Amino acid sequence: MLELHDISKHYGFTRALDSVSLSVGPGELVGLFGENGAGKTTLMKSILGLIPHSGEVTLDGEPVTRKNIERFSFATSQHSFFPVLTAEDHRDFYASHFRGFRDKRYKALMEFFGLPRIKALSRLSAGQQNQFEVIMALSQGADYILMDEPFAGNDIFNREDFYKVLLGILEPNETIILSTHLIEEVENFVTRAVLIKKGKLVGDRQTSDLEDSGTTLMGYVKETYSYEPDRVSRALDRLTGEEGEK
Amino acid sequence: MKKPDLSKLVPLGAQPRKQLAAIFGAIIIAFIWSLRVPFTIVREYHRCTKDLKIGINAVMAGYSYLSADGLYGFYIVAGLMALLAVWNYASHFIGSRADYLMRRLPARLELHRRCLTLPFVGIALSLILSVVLDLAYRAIYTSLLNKLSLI
Repeated sequence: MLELHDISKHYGFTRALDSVSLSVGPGELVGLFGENGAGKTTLMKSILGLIPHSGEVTLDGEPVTRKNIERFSFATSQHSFFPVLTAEDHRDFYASHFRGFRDKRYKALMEFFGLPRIKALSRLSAGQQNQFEVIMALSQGADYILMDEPFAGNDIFNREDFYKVLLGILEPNETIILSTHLIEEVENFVTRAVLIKKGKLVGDRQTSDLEDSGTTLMGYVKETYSYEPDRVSRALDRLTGEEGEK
Repeated sequence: MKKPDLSKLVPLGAQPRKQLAAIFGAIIIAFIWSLRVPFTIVREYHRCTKDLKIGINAVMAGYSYLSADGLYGFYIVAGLMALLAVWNYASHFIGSRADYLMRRLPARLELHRRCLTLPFVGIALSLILSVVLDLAYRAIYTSLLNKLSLI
């Protein structure tokens, strides 16, 4: 069980995370949703200890240290691979550092995406680089797989197929925490929706509960975010009104 | 004989032989620069013997004056090694955030080992050589000073 107790983070005078507490159990597929700058990336980096923060992150009751860090993997849109190295170089490096490295899964996913194995990653397209980032996160052998906007720049066919493959390969103990803006696309993938707004946790629901209550994931997000449906028409009215006045 | 695997001593993707060549090249340049110290000492000795032979009272200048900046090259190399270490760390931020991967490794010292080993070797070699050469040049100076006192 991953537990976050009272996590806060400030960037200067800006509060990026405000006393976030959350528990994520094994096998959950958690969607982490929120607008740009809501604190999703900061939360993931705090879990991994990549940034200093207040509060406590524990995994099965133990603080996250080098002893248990390999139980986490991380796919980020910023990419955490070495651009001058090839996929195979990374495979060798991961295999030598992560005891649970899943070589079979790595090979299968590389084949699925049709990625070249002996080409410097800097020479791949942005979409292929994202795919590789995700492949390594899934192949590391981690129990908790954190993905931060992993599919920015990928076409919809790749994304949809990928979710299907992901659901097929994940083992019961593997947990996904996925931060994305593509809410509708992951509706059938995630089992739980966690919403974050201005650094605060503002929503946390099982998708099965949403289904039971007849609410869509997008509807839930909009409702929690107090989305104003007439926002666009009002803005257009204002804009076209201004044009007319001129 | 099997060649040692130096690739584990530099950041992933960096070329260890290039870094080693740069370190040894810089040390060799610093050594060549330092050779001006014994040359200056010997020249000073010859000037003094020449003066003494024609009856002019002559005293050899002090070692610190003669050695002047002769060993500075090694200190500059040590400074450059510190920059190499900074570069090694910075290379993890170029084109990606590979530092995220390195900081997630179970091996706590992996990142630091790859970034600091060769710069540290460079600094150690530079400082050791500067001390050894300083002692050697001082020995040359002292022996010539003693020789001069016998004239």
